[in-house]
Amino acid sequence: MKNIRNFSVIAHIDHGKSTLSDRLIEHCGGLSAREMSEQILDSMDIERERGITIKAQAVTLDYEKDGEKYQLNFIDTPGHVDFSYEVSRSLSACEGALLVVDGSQGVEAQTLANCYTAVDQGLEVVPVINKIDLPQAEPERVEQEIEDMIGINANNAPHVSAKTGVGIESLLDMLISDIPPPEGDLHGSLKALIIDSWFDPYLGVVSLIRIKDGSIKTGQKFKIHSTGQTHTVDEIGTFSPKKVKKNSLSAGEVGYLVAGIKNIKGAPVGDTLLEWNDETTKALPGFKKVNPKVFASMFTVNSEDYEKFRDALSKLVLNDSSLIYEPEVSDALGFGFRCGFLGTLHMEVIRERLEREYDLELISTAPSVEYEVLKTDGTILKLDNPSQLPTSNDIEEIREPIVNVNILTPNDYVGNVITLCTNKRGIQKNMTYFGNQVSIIFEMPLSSVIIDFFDQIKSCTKGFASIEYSLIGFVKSDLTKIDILINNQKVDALSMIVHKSFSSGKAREIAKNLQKLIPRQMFDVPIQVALGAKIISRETVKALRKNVTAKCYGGDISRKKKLLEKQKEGKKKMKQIGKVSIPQDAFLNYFSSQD
Amino acid sequence: MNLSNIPLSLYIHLPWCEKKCPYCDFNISINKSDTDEVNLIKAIIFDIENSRVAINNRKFKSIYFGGGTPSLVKGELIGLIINFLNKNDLIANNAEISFEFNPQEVSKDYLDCIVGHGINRLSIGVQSFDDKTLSSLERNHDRERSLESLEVISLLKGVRTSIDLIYGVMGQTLTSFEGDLRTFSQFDLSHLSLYQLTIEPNTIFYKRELKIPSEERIESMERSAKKILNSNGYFQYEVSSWSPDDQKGIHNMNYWSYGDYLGVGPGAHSKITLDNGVYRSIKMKKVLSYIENPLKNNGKYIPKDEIDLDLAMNFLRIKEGVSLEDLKKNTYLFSDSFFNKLDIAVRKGLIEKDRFKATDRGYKFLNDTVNIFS
Repeated sequence: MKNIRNFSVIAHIDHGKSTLSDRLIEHCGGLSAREMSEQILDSMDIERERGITIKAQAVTLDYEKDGEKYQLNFIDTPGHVDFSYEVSRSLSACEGALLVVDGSQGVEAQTLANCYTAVDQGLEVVPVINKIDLPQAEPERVEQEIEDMIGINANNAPHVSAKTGVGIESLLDMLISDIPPPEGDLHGSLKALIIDSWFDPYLGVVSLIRIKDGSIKTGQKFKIHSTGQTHTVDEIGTFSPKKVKKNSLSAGEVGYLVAGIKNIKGAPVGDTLLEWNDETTKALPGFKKVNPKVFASMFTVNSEDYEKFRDALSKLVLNDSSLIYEPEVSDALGFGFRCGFLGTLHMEVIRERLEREYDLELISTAPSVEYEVLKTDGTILKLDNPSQLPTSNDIEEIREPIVNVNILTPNDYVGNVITLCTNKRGIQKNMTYFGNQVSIIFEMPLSSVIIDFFDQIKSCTKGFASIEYSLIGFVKSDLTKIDILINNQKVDALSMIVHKSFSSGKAREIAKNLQKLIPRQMFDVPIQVALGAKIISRETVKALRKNVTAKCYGGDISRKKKLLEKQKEGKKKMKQIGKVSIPQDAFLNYFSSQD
Repeated sequence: MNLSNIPLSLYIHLPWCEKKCPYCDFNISINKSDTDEVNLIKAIIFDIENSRVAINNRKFKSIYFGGGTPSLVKGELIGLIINFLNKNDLIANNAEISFEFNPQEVSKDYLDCIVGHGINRLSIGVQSFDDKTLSSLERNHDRERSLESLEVISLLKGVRTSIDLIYGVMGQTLTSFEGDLRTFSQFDLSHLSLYQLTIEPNTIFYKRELKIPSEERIESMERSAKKILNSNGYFQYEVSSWSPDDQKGIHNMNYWSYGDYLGVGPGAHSKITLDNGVYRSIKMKKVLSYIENPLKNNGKYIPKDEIDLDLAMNFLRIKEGVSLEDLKKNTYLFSDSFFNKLDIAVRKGLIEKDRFKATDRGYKFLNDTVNIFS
């Protein structure tokens, strides 16, 4: 056990975590050069394209130093705030964490938050300065920043370039010397933590586990603590990152387990594996259940696809327990699902996976948060769908979720950040200077954070600022619902809950957006935004005047046919609301701020 | 249905131009050589000679020499084709034989030559009588040249003439366009092809940022055109065709009323009704490929479920449409789905109740109307 090191990597998006992972795998010979494709750990298409990690993954590496063989278990963590839950899971299986900081950028808010989590969980944090090959890298400044902001000594932090491979050796040495080996009772009775479970169509449920005490081997019977069910091990092993079968896994090790479990609920994440007849051992602490924070309704463009959509969602949740959904019926959009997500990135990723992997055409409504409504009869109603808001007569007060937002930004952009947050109903709570970096704490409604906020923060700080937020609680607020009418028909699914002081501005914005997003039809299409019975904003999509019908020459109708087919295809991708055809992107963008 | 009763036209594609116009997306080629010219004419004759199945004992009720710029081909070579057709008794009595010109190439000698061979209708690519519009279109002729060629043509006996005019061109004003229409009306011409500039993919204009007139201006141009042309005795009978009632182009009308046509020459399109259905095909596009193998074509039978669209695309271009009785002559081709679609279009007010004819609104939104049948 003394030669095992379990560690994860904490890094901000784009700070080179995935590239560094690849270099470590390559250095330790986990894959042959032929098998190395860029950023192996990010295996989902979307992860690769967006350069982000969504799910936790693990790799076991062999490393030899001064004649000693070491087993390095490296657990990859997601780098985006939406997936912080996955981060804390990964960390709980480790004794240490590499804190990777871009030598040209410095510490970012999300890194900071994850780093605090790691320290809280008692992990040894090893700082690493990456991207030192860049001309603008300033490792000394970044070292100072790490010391100032996180409070750990970064003097000895290895300077590496994951891109060129410089410094990888010294990084591995530091890993072995600084991160403590796991503790546990090799010969005790079995106790293991389920870090993650996912569904594999061929194997059934595959779980990533960390053995705390004892060992587990192929053919052994074991019990899942929460369900009390016993299973027999079909296959265990480690990832290299390819699956490598093993006969057993022992205390301190991290690997995968297949035991003929058919449903992901049979191997819940955070649960404990015990000997099959062990009635006394207590479960490991496990993880806090994560609740979705952002909600949106999704509908298929073609109503015939509804069954296919339901099927796709049921398959998707097998690998993503943080996604929740329930059927919804909209007067205007038909049958769909109300879905709950960890955040807006999570929402986008799910949407993209549904469209790409399940070949669906979806429209989704504006993201919403969960509200608490105190009704006049004294009961409290929780709702996440604006169309469910009771009539104003029945409402005593509405409470909305408030978050604590920490924004890290270079000094130059403090003014822009404060203006933006204040405009989004933020209240400044604190401001701390770390050299050129400033940490600004705001209390803001979550609803302001989930729409456009990330993009706007990035654009007003030239991309330098980073954000981290956490929920504080629900606070009474002066909120109201605005409804949207297209061609005089209320489109229930587009309703939004907004702050009263913003309602007329938002109404104008929405009407203008829709006017631009809805293509001209053969008739005028009025767009109205209503507050109660009162129309507070109105625009019109002017009718098309005519089609341009080109000259047809030499009996060639093939070109014309192609054009007509293209128009027909385009129309198929639009949602019909009454007589009006509305394209997908109208639903995605109608609520965005124009600037 | 006796297939040999379906009217048949002949389209002859002569692909050469002096240069490629920036709005043109037709199959044209530049750099004509004398050898290619002779070889192409031989290939065309060979092609017709070997199209007996398609011709099916019929005579051509119209023949159209289009391009490209047919007038770049030597007159005696045109004569070779017509002589061949006559020798094989392939031309119907009173057949319309049209020939396309650019104003730049009109000369008395050339006209005398081809009219002598039997050409009885000329189609001149005037486009505009305004030099500004012509330069926006980057044409190689000017107003003066067009007027001169129309003067020369007016001296010919027994020849009908059509010209092309275009609207919606960059910088074109309503006044300038009205001027074009009035100039047209001053000549005693039988026909006008009037069309809006469309920017097609694969054209030079497509890659440029163009300032075309606003929708409102284009609409007022269309209103003006109707007024001026009607008062001079010209009436719209097809999307881009205007003439006195007795001067409609026979060749184009044959396309729209779902007649058959044999297309010869590079990239020419054919539509022939055979025992197994309607066969549409296209010849090899490159001049040399066609010369090498004039009979080779890419074609297919129109699938049953596409016939509806085929019919709508053609008949509905005709302003007066077609009577339901005449339409039903084609019912051996299509299924009940056609009449379901027709019902929808009628209910939407795009097609009239008792005739397969677009309503005013349906004609304005012809693409949407036709697409109901796809």
